[in-house]
Amino acid sequence: MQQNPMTVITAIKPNSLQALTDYLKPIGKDIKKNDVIQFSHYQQLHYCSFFIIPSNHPSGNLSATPALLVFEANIDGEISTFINDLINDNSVFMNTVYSYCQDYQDNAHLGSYLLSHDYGANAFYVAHPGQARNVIYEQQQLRKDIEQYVDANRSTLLEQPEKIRETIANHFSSTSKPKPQPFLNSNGDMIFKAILAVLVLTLLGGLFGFLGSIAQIIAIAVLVLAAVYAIVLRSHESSDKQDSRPWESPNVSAVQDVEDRQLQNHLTSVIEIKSGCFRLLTLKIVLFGINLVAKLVATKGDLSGIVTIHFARWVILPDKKRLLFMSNYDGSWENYLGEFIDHASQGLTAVWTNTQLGENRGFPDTKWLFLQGGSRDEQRFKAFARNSQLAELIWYSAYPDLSVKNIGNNRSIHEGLFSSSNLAAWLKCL
Amino acid sequence: MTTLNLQDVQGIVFSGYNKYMSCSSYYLLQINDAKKTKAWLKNLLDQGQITHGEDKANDSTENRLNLAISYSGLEKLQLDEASLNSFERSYREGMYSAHRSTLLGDQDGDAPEQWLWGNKANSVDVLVLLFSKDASIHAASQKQHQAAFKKAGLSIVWHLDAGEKRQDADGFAVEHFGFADGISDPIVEGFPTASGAAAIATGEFLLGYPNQYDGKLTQIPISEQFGTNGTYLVLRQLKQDVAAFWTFMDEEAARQGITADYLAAKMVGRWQSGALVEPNQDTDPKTVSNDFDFSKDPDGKGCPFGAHIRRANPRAVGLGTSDAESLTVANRHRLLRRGRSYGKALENPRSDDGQERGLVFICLNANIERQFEFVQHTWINNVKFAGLYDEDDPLIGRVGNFTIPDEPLRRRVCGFQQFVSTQGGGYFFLPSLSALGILGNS
Repeated sequence: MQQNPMTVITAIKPNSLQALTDYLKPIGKDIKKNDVIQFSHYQQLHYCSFFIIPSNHPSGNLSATPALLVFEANIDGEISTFINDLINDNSVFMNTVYSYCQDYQDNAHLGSYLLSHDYGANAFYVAHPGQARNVIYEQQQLRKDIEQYVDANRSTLLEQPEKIRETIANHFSSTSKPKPQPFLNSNGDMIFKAILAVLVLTLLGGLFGFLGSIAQIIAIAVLVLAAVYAIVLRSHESSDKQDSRPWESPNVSAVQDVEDRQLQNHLTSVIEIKSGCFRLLTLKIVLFGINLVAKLVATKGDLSGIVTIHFARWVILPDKKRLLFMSNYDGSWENYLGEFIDHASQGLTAVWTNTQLGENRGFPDTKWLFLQGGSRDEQRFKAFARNSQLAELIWYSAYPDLSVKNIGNNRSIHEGLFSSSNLAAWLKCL
Repeated sequence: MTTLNLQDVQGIVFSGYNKYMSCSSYYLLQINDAKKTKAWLKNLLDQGQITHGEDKANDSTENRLNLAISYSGLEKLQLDEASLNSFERSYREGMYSAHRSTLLGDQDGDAPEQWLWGNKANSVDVLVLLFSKDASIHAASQKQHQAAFKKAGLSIVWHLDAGEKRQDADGFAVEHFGFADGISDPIVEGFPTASGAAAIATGEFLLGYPNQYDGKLTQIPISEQFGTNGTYLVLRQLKQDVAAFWTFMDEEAARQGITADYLAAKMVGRWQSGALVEPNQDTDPKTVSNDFDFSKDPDGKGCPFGAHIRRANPRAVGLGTSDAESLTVANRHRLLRRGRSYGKALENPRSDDGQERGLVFICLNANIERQFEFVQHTWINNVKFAGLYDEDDPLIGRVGNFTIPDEPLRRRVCGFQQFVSTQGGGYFFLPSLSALGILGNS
């Protein structure tokens, strides 16, 4: 089953901001036991969050725009099914929330209203594509059962070391076989390489005239375009100003208040896209590339070396002036930002170098889009990221006690139960 | 090569004075009269009493003194708001604050409300570290300084005396559980003690110098003149329950059919001698070396993933796609340890004598959030560390399970107890001598 990103973005009615905040905040504070909504009822839901983007965030440049309510969800299957389930099951919650928003009509139109305000994602990363929420639950239970069995029978199992898996498999013979992983999980890497190879070969073949004169003209045009792009890029980069003020957003305390309450965290960042169509275009191209990598290459719980992200998405806001980034990750903010810098400097610099906290308060100085500078300036980058953050009002995780690595390991245990190869590697998973 | 002005850096940065100073005391003080405190500070400097890096100890050296200040201390010394805000957030909030204690795992019995000092009720402004050559010199020095504190408008909130020094045959200090300690302090570029190639950038431990990120400078509070050559000092009073530790080892080892020494070594990651626990070892080889990076033990069959020393510094395994990348990442989170044990050694480690003992944990770092707090939260206390499920640090953690990787099947300790608890703690700034001068003259 495929995981999909829902990002419903609606404008909040003037004067309703406080009332909406007051309604959502207590639910978020008691996500497990509040009597308004139980997100765990929705079996397709992995994570969801509600938060408000103030009109003046991150700077006062956009004060004419209304404050926005964002409802983010990471779900199995169709978004329309999820929306219908929500409205049918808890129309009070859904209607109360959206009655504070512009263009809301009534319960009958709520479904189409939400669908028409769903902006999905420009780029979407899933740690374990195809892994439905219920499968994650089942495999965690299976692992716990096997762990208990091994603990209780360790010495007996060790009497016949070569038969350990057989004995365990026999004991758990009623377990059903795991569903095969999606095609792209195992073949996407190859497809990605093939696409790259075809592009390079076409360009080179065209350039040297092997593919006819029209292809040659196109190839030369592509190269000229790339050169022009590089020149324009460098001219932007040399005139852009990085944020050099020792400055802390007033949001930081609120963000810190909702952080580290459990093993996982949610990150919400909203940042201005630098003005002019050049940066917007660059950003769109980079996000297209990241999306491709996420679909084809990063399918095994590892996004360019970062092994703590469950779901992440980038969304260009409807006004095309701001970039929204959301992520559900394991561990602390300090670790998360550190992993970004340690392992994924290039990708993240390519995205956020197109953004700023405000006029003349840009991303740390960058050269050649991602090659030099940018997020490698650790302290300046962390301050930039911190100041772009917003605190969520509601955040729900279906499995707050499982890390990305745990989920991958659980699947390996399940799969290994039905495999006869590589016994030693399987035993290490237990 | 970084050249340091050693005269401007407090001596504790370069040395814990273990070689020549057998006694030490830690005074946690509150400022009641800022004017008097400033005069006292100025006087200490004028008399050359604050030990700096150039002032090397030898056989005839009698005393060493260093001094650090908490955020509330700087507030009381009347720094302006912009200056105060230029310090890093963790320091400004303090170790006892709600968010910091969540990060550090100081909950329930370890919560700041239970602490002897360093919480809201018993807040600490100034830390004075006193060292002496022997007990009689130390007694005289303590008496003299205690009188001076009184005159300086300083009251003593708490004080800790380091216990009699225990050393093993290799010259390493032995902590109360009986393990050699302080073996793996990083070698720092530009430090007078530095030798060898694996040096960590100066900026990781002193402000104003390039750090481990592409040679960037770690941010300096207030001004270059004030902040350079200063650093942050973290202090925690960690009480150790020695009898509980060894009684648990005895009982659990008997249940598992192994020895208590073996189990304890697996939990620590080193044998009592300090030797690394390696695959296929049943007893202490007693060959101590710090020259390893876990690349020969990628599956934890020697030193388990959850073992204390592997959590405290995972070295070349598990933090990146290659050994080199992992080592680069690990070296962005190093600590310089300068603490000592307090309280008397327990004669029979299986039988409690009702006296308190433990570790005065002191570490230095240029960025508390990226170094001390990171190590504590992301490595030590992280139940998901290295792909684990529900395990805490078996030595200094609270409660949890512990997996000992083995072939063909792992061994598991289900539910170890808490042997170490937090009794107090604080974040301090260890200023350069010139910064102390600025404070004293302000």
